[in-house]
Amino acid sequence: MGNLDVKAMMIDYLSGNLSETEERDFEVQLEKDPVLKEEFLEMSFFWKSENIEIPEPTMEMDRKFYEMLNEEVKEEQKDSSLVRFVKRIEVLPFRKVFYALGILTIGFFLGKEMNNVKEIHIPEEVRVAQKETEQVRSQLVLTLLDQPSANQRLQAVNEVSKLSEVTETIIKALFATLNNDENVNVRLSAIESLKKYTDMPIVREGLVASIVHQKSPLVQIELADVMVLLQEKEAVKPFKELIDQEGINSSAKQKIEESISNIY
Amino acid sequence: MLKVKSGESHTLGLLYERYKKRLFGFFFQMSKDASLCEDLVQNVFIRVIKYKHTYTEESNFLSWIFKIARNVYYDHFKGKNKNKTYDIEEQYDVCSFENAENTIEQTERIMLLKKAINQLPEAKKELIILSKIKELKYKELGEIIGCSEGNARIRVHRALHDLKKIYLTLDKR
Repeated sequence: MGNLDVKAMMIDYLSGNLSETEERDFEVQLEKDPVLKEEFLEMSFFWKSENIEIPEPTMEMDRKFYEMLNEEVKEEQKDSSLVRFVKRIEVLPFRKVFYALGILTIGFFLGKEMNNVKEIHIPEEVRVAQKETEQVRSQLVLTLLDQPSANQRLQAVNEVSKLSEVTETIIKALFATLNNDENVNVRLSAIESLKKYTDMPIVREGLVASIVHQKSPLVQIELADVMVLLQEKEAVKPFKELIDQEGINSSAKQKIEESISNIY
Repeated sequence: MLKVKSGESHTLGLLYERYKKRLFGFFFQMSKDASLCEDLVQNVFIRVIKYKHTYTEESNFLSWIFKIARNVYYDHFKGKNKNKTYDIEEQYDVCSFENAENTIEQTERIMLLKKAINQLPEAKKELIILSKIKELKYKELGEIIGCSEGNARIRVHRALHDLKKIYLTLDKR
């Protein structure tokens, strides 16, 4: 390998454009030649320094994107629904209507029939579009809950409030977040979202069951408030277990004791 | 992307999650304006939807999306006399905080390098930024900027050598 070749390989090496064998050869050369190594270190400085200080994009960027995506999905469904609707209209017996013009009664009834068909199909199309949007939103929630960024998981929990109905999968995912998420804000938001569905037995049971899993005083206090609101007697036992635990925060303990006395 | 193309637009969310940071990083290094970068990333995905029919199974998605990103960037500044350069101290606020523990000398060297990068012609600056994206080899780089693999390699080499020259000139002052 000529000296010029090796020098040219520096940039290829830094930019990951060498094959494994070429990389190894280059590293051997680098070890052998201290002058080359010095040049390489200098070039690495030019290569690597720029990567350091890129800020994180804000949640606003995600919000705008998902808003745009939801709009796009709605449009797509509206379009496809419209195409289906037009196709249905096309196959309707317009010709027969013209043929039957001579017979007023038949024409009248056919016309009425067509109006009925329209009345039935339009709400049906809208209903399907709404259902599909809901499904997209649910998928979005599940995808975002799996993201490593706490901001995105928070966004996921907030997206739940936009759903008109929640599936059992979403509820389970929210409980998994409440019991396992490392971020307190995400867990608090999960409680906030679950509060809206306390008419479902699975949610009430899940909230009671999660009491003993909580280590953060903020989450414990929030759960205590929810249980008073729900007047959930089943919560008394796990709360008592919680206050008996060593190292429980004194404010949380006081709050839980007050809450227990407020659950009649 | 093929799913998005076939009408499953909701799957675009996954692509967004996967590529948003790289796109944001590219725009930020080019413009140093974080708020503008967020808008540009959004515009990239609007174009992804608009031009999804141009994506084929043979296309390399990363090259394809960065080609769009490049167009978005240049279209934004096209015909506008926008001042893309900012005061150097202002631009690297984040940097100076992050490097607080480094020696003054190191910080100065990095500041000088930023200044040198800023003095590079736009096309060369772009080449250096793009070539630093891990998955973009010379081949993909060539696809993005519209030249052969060999030519892309030569251009990257030249850009980096030019950067070094500018840096050394600034250092002598």
